Amino acid sequence: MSVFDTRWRRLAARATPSEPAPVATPDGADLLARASARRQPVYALAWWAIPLAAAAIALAVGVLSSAPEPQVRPTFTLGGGRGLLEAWPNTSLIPQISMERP
Amino acid sequence: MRADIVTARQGDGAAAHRLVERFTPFVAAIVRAHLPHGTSVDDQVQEAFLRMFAGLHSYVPLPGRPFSSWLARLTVNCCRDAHRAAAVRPRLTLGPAAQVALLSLVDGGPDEDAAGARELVAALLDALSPDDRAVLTLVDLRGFGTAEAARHLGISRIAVKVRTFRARRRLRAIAMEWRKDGRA
Repeated sequence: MSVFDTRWRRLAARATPSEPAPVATPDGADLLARASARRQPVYALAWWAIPLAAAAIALAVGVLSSAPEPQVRPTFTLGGGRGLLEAWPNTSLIPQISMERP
Repeated sequence: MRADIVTARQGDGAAAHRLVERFTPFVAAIVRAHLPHGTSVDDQVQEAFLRMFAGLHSYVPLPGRPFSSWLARLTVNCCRDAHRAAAVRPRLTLGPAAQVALLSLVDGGPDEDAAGARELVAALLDALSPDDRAVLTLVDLRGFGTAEAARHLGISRIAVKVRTFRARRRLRAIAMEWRKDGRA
């Protein structure tokens, strides 16, 4: 323990009141009743929230599945903006593989 | 006690009162350790018991997890919320007696008077985080052993030792800073 720690503990010992002020014991039955009243709105919300959330999910799935498929097909382009099909007959664009042994 | 927990869960007021009677000193000690100087302990004790009853259905008794540890954790969280809501700021000025006590703490010197010591200790503890404040209050002010402090804070004995060491280090940094600022 450092010198500071020793001084701090001495200071703390001088500062501590001998006996803390007593705390009144609350009424347990009353607290229990208040706690269950406090919990009530949460339960009520939960009972409404679960079917509501399920309905929202079902609606979202329905909307998404009934949407038409996109008509525009994706196009692939090579450099210079030429389409792939347009470039295909040009064999110079196809990589050449040598079959000769080195 | 286990029977009281079960029956209180079912809404038995008498069992609830027995639980409150039994645990009031325990909860009050935790609240006193956590809350800033001068805040109402009674209100916070009531709030802790309200949360205890509201969450009693979620308490599962386990071999290594006694009811007191569960209640301690719940009370500590309750105090943290109160601390956050109050947004306590450390006091900016110290009285003459507390200034003498600060000099004595940092530089060494003769014993300060009790009023100055109390004011300085309260100001220093208010400047710490609730966790640091709690562990130093229990260990250094209330003189709790490591095991007892661990039970009150709902943490392990090793955690109490580590937290005490770190809290004292932070306290030292604050005291040095105040001394340098010319607060003493």
